[in-house]
Amino acid sequence: MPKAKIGSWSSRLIGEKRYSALLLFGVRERFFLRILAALLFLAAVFYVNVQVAMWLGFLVASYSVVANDSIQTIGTFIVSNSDKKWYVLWLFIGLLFVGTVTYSWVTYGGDVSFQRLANKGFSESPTEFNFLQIAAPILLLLLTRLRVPVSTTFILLSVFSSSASGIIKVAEKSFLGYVISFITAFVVYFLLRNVVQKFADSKAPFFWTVLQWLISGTLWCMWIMHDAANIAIFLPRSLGGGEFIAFAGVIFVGLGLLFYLRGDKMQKIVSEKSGVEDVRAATIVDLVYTVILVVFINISTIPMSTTWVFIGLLGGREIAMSFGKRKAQGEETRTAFKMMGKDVLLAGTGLVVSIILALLANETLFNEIKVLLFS
Amino acid sequence: MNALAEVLGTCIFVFLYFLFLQRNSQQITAHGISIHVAASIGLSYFVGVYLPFYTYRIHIFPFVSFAEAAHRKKYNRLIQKLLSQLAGSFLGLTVFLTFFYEEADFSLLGVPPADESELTLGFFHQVALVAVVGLFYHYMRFYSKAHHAYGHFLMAVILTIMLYLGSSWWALSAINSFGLLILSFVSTVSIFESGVLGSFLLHLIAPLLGVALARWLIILIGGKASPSKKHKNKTHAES
Repeated sequence: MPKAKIGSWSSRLIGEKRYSALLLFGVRERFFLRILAALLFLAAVFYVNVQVAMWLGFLVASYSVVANDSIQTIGTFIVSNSDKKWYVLWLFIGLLFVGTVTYSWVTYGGDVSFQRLANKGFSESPTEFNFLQIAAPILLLLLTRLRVPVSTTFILLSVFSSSASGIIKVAEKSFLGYVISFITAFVVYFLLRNVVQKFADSKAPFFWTVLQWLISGTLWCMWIMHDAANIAIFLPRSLGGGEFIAFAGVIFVGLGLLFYLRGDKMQKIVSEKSGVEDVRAATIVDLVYTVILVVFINISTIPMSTTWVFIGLLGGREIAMSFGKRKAQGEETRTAFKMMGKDVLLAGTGLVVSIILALLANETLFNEIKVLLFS
Repeated sequence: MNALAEVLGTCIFVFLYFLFLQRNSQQITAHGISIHVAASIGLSYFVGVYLPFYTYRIHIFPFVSFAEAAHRKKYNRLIQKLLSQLAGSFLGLTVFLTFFYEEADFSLLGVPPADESELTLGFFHQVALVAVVGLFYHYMRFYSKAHHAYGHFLMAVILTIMLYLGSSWWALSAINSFGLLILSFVSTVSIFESGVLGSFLLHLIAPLLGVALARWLIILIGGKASPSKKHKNKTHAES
């Protein structure tokens, strides 16, 4: 392990433990960092070639978005089905994906984003890219590896957006999503806390497994309807047959990799929460999340961070559950608040990184903010 | 192995550097360096460091090597570093000129500073850029002694900020002086085309002053002894 200089300005700024963890990350992930550098190199060379750039952006985005974002929807599914073969879970989720995007492709004349990219200024297929637009999903890979729950909608769509107001609206809606999901989860779990705590004492009947697969499948399909746009943003708005097969095939294989790795690094955020390995507890999490997403999809077409909604849900759940524990209740609640604070801090860091990237990649946006701040 | 890493790292950096400049030359000539070009070159530094061998002894910039050698008084390593950087610059430039050079799009090397005030501004910027990069590199190695992804990310950020604040394309040469020098030899455009005195001030005197400033700041902050030696002694004492 690298030696962190105790008392250095860097370690004082971000804390000794975090500083050491960052140094350790550099040592442990050297191979991964080289892959990132190689991808950045390819992006730098090929970003002017629209055909190559769009497929490169798509390839990286497809893995980074699925690894970072969809884990909110299939994360609890993976944890509570850890006893099952990875390829069984992969086939279930993968085939649902193929079915859902095929429906969109057939129904909307080649569009795989359920028409989310038909408005909000994204209706035109990209005709040129700049380097940072292709670099955005590569940086998302890094954030995923660092277990920062960044909003993929924010980081990928904002580098293509042309006005600051659009990003502010996304941030507002995401924050609202966090608050509402936190309150909803708190109320639901406060009422159900005694029932949920008893789950640990008994084995779940088979009926719960069937129910969980149904609800997780529904949630997964909803996520695709909402967030497939984050991947498809790099591609033509209307895909031909070959392009569609490449699109669906790459993500199908990427999902296989994700299930083989049991959810990559981001999975730890879900795994460390109490009790989600029980199929009944996981089903309730998924059900609450599905209901909240349905509500928000119907509120407006403005994109929002589903990551923030999910973190709000987990935060509300942990705090409500801590109230139900008799032994050392104060300590349990403090731990829950600490965990929630950590998640908010990480999500906030992801938000700041997204804004910085959007400002770097988008000159119009940068000038708009500059005028706003300094005029 | 370090020399080979220096060659490859410099090669990658110089290649990407010219690629970005060429692709954005019209915009740079008209409006200066935009934030996305600055960030792109900052990321190129990261790529240059991480692709070859993942070694922390790599410098890439000749004036950083000068600053390090001057501070540590280890001038014997300087020759190896500079030769490697020259070879890397030549290699990177050759790849660029052979496969990516488009003459019509690449006219920025002949653009001089517009007037004396711009030249003065550029001069101070060059001094500051070299001093900050030299100082930062020194402390990056010192504080994250082993392999430091964190330090290199910060380095890329510092470069982005400095390049953006520098604004004009001609203020970029301090970090790629060998690349520009070789280009002026092998192509018709020259960095010395417009005003030899101005070019020397910007591309040689200012960076050397930056080296001196960096060394002075290192001594001012860390004392006269080399921080790495102090760190080494402390580690020995602790063990």
